[in-house]
Amino acid sequence: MRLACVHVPQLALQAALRRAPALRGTPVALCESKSKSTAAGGDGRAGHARVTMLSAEARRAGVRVGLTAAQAAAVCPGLTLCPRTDADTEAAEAALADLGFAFAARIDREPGRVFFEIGDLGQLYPSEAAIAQVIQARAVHLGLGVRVAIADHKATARVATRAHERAIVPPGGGGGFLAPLALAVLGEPLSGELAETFNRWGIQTVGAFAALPAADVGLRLGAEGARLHRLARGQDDEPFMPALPPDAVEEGLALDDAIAELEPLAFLLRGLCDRLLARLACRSLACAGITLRLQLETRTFDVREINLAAPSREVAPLLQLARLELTRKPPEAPIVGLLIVARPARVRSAQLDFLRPTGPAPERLAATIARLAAMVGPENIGAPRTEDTWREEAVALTAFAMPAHTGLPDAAPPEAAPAPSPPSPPHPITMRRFRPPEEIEVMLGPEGPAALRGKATTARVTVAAGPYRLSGEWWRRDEHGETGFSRDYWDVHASDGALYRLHHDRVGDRWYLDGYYD
Amino acid sequence: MFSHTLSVMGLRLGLIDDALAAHLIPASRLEHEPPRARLATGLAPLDAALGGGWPAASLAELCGRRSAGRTSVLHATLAAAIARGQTVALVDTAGAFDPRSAEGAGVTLSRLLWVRAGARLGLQAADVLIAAGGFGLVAIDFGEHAPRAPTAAWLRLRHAAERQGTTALVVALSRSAGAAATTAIVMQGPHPRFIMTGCPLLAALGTRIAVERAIGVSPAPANECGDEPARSLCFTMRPSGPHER
Repeated sequence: MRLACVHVPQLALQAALRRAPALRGTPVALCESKSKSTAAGGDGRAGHARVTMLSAEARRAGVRVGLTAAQAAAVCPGLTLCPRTDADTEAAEAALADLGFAFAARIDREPGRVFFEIGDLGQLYPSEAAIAQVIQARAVHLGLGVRVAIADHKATARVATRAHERAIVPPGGGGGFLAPLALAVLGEPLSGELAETFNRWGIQTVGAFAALPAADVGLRLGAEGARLHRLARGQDDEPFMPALPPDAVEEGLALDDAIAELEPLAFLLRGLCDRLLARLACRSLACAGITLRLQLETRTFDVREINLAAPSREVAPLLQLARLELTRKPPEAPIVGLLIVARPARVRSAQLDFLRPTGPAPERLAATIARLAAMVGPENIGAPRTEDTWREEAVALTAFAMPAHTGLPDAAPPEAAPAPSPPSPPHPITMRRFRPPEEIEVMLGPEGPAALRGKATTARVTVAAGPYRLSGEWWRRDEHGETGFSRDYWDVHASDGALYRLHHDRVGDRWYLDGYYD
Repeated sequence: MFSHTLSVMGLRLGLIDDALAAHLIPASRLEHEPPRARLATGLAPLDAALGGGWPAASLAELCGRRSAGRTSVLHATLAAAIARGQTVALVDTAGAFDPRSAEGAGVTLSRLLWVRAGARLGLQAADVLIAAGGFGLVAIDFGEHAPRAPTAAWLRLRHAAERQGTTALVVALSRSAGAAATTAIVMQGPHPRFIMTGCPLLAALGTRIAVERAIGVSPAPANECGDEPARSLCFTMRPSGPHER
């Protein structure tokens, strides 16, 4: 079995950079204090915070691990000090797991690393080097810089990631591959006692250690030494322990300073949504909605549910809906923390049809509906449906879905050459409605309405047909205390040429213009 | 000397003509653009006037005053497109769409994507729908509002429709898209017919079609008397209409 090991060096630092990608390429140091003040989101410069991890730029500027925040800032004035937060680290770990699930159905996780089997990927990529390259490229999309090693065993692959950015250990050649490496790569790090022993023996490389007799190594260095010796020879009995993908996908962050305005909050939400959707895309999933959990300064939580009209992988509609929700009901206090939990959904697939026109791709259609719902409101998009009522103006919307075709089409597909249509029977008159019906004044004559006057309509009536009485729903009572309806409908031909439909509300004794025939 | 120069110039011009002739194609031999596919509406006079129906993958306009019949034509077009298996969307800027009437006209409601957008967002929503691709017909009903958009916006909509193979049908009181529309129909009417025996009863609505613009459609020949072909439409009240309840 060939295994890939994906390792994120300096995971906590990369997790912080993932939250603030603009800091990449600049001197950055991660500060941590034993008092946990920084872990809670406090100022990294305060207290006894010390540098625990640093970027290559900071190292070149002279910053070293172990300096206090003040000392590091003095050594490198342009240094950015980031506090270590558990939320960032957990999100980065989860993103790493999603990276594994992008390539395999089962992964084995440990802090900062994932392992997965790559046997089937050989059908997609020409070589193992290409697989490793693709894994690294995919990790960049998730905001992670990773090392990748492919080997026969977990432990060999793990050791290889400590020494190389990208390593392909030949099948059965673990020992030979590790032989020239420094002995320190066998541990993370080697225990002080073992390191001192090796130093005393004059052993510098893995190959030199592997050449020692196994029985004598076990006798002198104990169980740990024997394990390292087997590892140095490319022998590994560590089992692959697969884990299931988590149900929820979440991204969060703790804020240094509380946010009270919508714009900076929207900026942070965009970053979180970007990373969240990239992780879902890794698992070939889309987002059906999110739970937005805002931690307020008052130590309370404000939880919002935001649903998309259809599963989508586009950030814009998600962000637009979140913005609308927060504008509709702003949080009661400034925000000090954010957590977004996505509801994953499968992307629907479509079966193309030889005999029918090709419709929009399901995923594309879903994304379009989600975008439009964010634009016009989710209550304004869908498939129309008539309601079971005698109220003519009643209408409802249902979710729009592409129909599942079976059998042959109802009609022949359109041809390029124009063909004359056969004579057709008369078509029914259709109605164009005013929503809501416009209240009007009506002058009555002996035959019914004689003239109408409304906001945009003033005309004499030349012919009035009616009345047609409709009443019902007297058994219902809504929140306004209204009991059903009773109306007299009229079809009138007005002097402006239009054919209007209007009604007299017999309950409220008012006239309304419903629309016109068109 | 002068005549010699002229003769040299004539020789040179002759050479140039010969060289150009090898690369020039006379207009008579130019290949014609293949006829556009047409989306039949099911209304015979209208299909005849449009050379088979609305041109596919283009921007078309359907205009008319109140009760002129544009909504009936719109519903017939939607019904025909759905019957052909196309994916159809209606951007309704005024909320004027009446599902009961549409169902009566043969529109399968479950297969119509209805977007109720305000007048300001109508064109933008249509843009999003067309850009998504796969829609056979996207109708934009501006209702009583006059769509106000710069020429560039209409041209962009037309190009998007051509690229995606979608017919964009703009329904409005009057023409707005100008030269960006390949087809423009103005409905002229109405001519209502009431049954006046006893209590008046609305029976039918007559209207006439005026083709204001139809690129790629040759004008229909006049009949033997020299009259234009009949382009009148008649919409009748449904037997199960509201006043029949």
